Amino acid sequence: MTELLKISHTMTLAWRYGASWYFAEFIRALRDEQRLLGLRCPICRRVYLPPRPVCGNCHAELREWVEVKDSGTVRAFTIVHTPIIDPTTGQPRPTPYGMALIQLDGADTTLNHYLAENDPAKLQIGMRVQAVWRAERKGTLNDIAHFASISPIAERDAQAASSQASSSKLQSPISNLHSPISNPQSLFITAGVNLSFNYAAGKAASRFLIALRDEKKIFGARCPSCQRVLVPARSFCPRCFVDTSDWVEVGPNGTLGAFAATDNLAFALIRLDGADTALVHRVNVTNADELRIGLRVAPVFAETRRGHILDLAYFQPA
Amino acid sequence: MRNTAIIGAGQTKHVKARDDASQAELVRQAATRALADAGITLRDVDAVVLANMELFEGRALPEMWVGEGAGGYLKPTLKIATGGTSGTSACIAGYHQCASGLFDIVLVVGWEKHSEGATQTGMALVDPLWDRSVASGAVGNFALSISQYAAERGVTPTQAAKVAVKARRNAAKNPYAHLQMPDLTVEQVLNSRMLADPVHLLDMCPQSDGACAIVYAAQGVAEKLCARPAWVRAAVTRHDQPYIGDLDRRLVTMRTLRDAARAAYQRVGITEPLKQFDVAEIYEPVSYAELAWYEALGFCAEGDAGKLIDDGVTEMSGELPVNPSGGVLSTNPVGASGVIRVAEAALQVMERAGAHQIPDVRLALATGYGVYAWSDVIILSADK
Amino acid sequence: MQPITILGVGRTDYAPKPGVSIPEMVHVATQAALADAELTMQDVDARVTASVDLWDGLTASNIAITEVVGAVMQPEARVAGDGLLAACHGAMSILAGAYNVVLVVAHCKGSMGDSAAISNWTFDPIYQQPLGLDDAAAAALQASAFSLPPPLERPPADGAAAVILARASETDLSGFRRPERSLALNQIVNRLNPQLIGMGWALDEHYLGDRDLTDAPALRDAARRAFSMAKLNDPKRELAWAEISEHFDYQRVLWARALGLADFSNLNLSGGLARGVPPFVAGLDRLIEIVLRLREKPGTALAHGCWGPCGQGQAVVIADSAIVRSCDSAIVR
Repeated sequence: MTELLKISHTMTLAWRYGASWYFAEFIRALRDEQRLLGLRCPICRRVYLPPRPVCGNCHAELREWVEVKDSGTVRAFTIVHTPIIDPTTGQPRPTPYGMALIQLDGADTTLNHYLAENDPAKLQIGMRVQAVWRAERKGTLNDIAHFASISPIAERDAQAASSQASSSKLQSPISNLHSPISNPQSLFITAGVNLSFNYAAGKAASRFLIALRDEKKIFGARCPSCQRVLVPARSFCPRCFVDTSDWVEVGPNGTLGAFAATDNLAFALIRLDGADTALVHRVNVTNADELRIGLRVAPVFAETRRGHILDLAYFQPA
Repeated sequence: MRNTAIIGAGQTKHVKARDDASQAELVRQAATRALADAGITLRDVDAVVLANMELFEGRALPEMWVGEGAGGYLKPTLKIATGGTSGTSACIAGYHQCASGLFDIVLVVGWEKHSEGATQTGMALVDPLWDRSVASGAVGNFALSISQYAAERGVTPTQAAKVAVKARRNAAKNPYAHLQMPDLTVEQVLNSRMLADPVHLLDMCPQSDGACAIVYAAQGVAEKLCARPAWVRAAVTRHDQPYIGDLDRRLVTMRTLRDAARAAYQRVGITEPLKQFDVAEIYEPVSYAELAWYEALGFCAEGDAGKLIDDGVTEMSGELPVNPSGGVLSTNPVGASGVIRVAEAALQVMERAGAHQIPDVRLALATGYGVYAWSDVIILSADK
Repeated sequence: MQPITILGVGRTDYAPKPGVSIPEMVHVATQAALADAELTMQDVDARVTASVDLWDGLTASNIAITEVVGAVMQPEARVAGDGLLAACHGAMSILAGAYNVVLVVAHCKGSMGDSAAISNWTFDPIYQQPLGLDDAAAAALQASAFSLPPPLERPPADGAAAVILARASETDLSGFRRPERSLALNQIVNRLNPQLIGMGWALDEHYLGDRDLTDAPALRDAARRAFSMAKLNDPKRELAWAEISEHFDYQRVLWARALGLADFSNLNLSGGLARGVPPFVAGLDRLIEIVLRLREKPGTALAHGCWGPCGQGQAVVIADSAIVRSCDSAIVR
């Protein structure tokens, strides 16, 4: 049985995600004032968290800010036992941990968040929970570490205390939030990934790459229908949709058909001797002016080869 | 609307890792089998529709590379990507293309190679401003909704486990299925590792490598190529709001599936689905979901789903066999999973399902599920 | 083919919008299209959207726009490719009889990420991606085949475009679910709205070395289908204008030739994509350009979109200013 190769790639990409006015405002209130804001639909009156530009049920624009409390009622819960990668840390989150859909007081949607409790026997739908905030807030939902259960008595006491403080609260600059865009300053958040992928080369490409690795030979495969010798070799002809038949050693030298010199690499389409299609590969010349269509080139193989298209390091003028 | 039928289907053997085939080669295997099943060649195909969750394999525009495996060269080819419903939505897209009158024969292929992606890759690129701060993962998401559903409807872990057992036992009769466990017991499901309460490992679908293809033909062509085509009688899509917390009581209400089914049933004249359908292939990524779908699809009254599985109504020998193929619980190459539902429903109508064939199928139901609650409903029939 | 009426068009400006979210950007375009068509979201039966996850940095990125395109409890199909392809598919679903009014939306924020690094992930991972190829390098290869220097890259832009398509004839309108709506729509449909009368799309080979980069067989194939559907025998003479997607300058000549429009004078009168139009929005933006022009001057026009390395994917739409008067069935040109 043929050795089957996999080709690895690592994706390191980052994006700048626009937050728009609604998220900018939400994040500002969360970070600077430890307050949660929702947007109320002018038609169905539902208060939405997370904030968004439109109520999907009513097709109405959302502009009215409403303060939502950081306490709420558990509508659904689970204890997660299987570690998942926490995208904020890139590390598995220690298990077990509780999660819940929490309807915050004043909101009509639920919030998906962590629970302090991880014993299912101590959890039930309908229980009351309160946000436990982190000492330092950065402007993400993670500023709330988790939600902890609160006893009805403790909650009543807390409500009494908060109603006493409510007059001073109303004077804070955030309280008048009913203007359409109270803070038009928008922001974006940069977030990225660092992920690995392993792609199966399949039997034909494995055979081609192993020939590069072990024999420093370049093979094409013939299409029995159009008779083209396809290089690099592959299992089927993309034009004729039939399996390729015999394998043909091609090159090693060839002729440049097109080239592209970028900042640090030069690419070329190289018609290897005996091939009917061109090989896409790198070329290495001391001076980019040497590159011209019709240039004869020869392959240079890498010292250490691993079954990879870059076992053939590059082509250079023959 | 021009009458359109499925006249062929083909799939790969679904496994954990298909290291012997590239994505394009995997797709070609399914496409070739579907063309052979339909008794046509690629030359007869007028258009190609593809389905895939590209970020699971880290790709952008994968049809550029993989499309050749579906014979897409110099053919009208496009790719549908709508999360978990990609496969069923691609089947609906292919149906529309064929019914439009512009194409007589359309090939639909869905594929996924989970083995090539980093774990949870697709999940890593959820909404950055909200969901990435409180990631619960696919299992956690389901478990949350299941806690409400089970509490409200009184469904038990044992009843859910029966669904998981039924799926893997059925899969043992399907040579293409990934998880084939003819001797699986309810106890084994209940004793399997807890992933997220109340979901055990064996309550969840696997991650598979695989591809599946179907061939559509328009009226006038279909009858010539197929003795018993599976005619599309209805195809309905419903999407829903984007955040998990928007859809409180998701499994309880499942409004997208309920509404899509209502619209599709109305078109075909279905008033008693349990009696009228001969078979159903529904997209159940977790055992509990199948029970919730029974209710949303009107197979039983609210709260009676557990009884349906207890009484064996949805077993192979029951009144309405659900997922004789083994379903998503046995085989889950996501971009292909929806196509597999439609293909399996079609195979039943065409009487080509082999060992898991249900006798005398005239009317079959297929559904798709994705994102937090997106639904597709497709009805196939032996009659136009 | 039955003509499809193009009821409304809308788009954002195209520029980097670092602080604007994808849904808000799409909302601007869809609202503009609805206003242009004098419709509300309730009049729309279905949506076809176009976007590519890796450019958006989001899994199933249409999730982000479900609400702003009105897809809650409604049908949506999402084409992962250029917006003109989404328009073609939207038109197909109308021809199929599945829907009467379809909203087509394309969006991309080209400034969100590193487009070159992202486009490396469109090349097959075995033979081409490891070399470090990206869209710009592929374009430079294609330019060199014409003995041209590497083309300049355009600055990234963000934006969204929306087009509303509808069934054209009265008979079909009678099938509307709500009678009062069908009456109102009938009046709107009977305005001087351009119609989509032809379309075609196709894929070229993927491996760059398999292709003759000086030719564009997929575009020739797409154009042949579109011309035949629109019953155009001599496109160069019969077309009043064409708006093509030249993502790089050298492509103008290449695409024009493949379309049979070499030396065609009314090519990209809008200025083409040089002002910076995001990928995947470009094709739908070309359609908007010809629709706006057809509303002013009668004629037949072509819109072109392409995507992938060296334009591996190609789509062509033909639109016409002719209207079908559904009241008296007279076809007025």
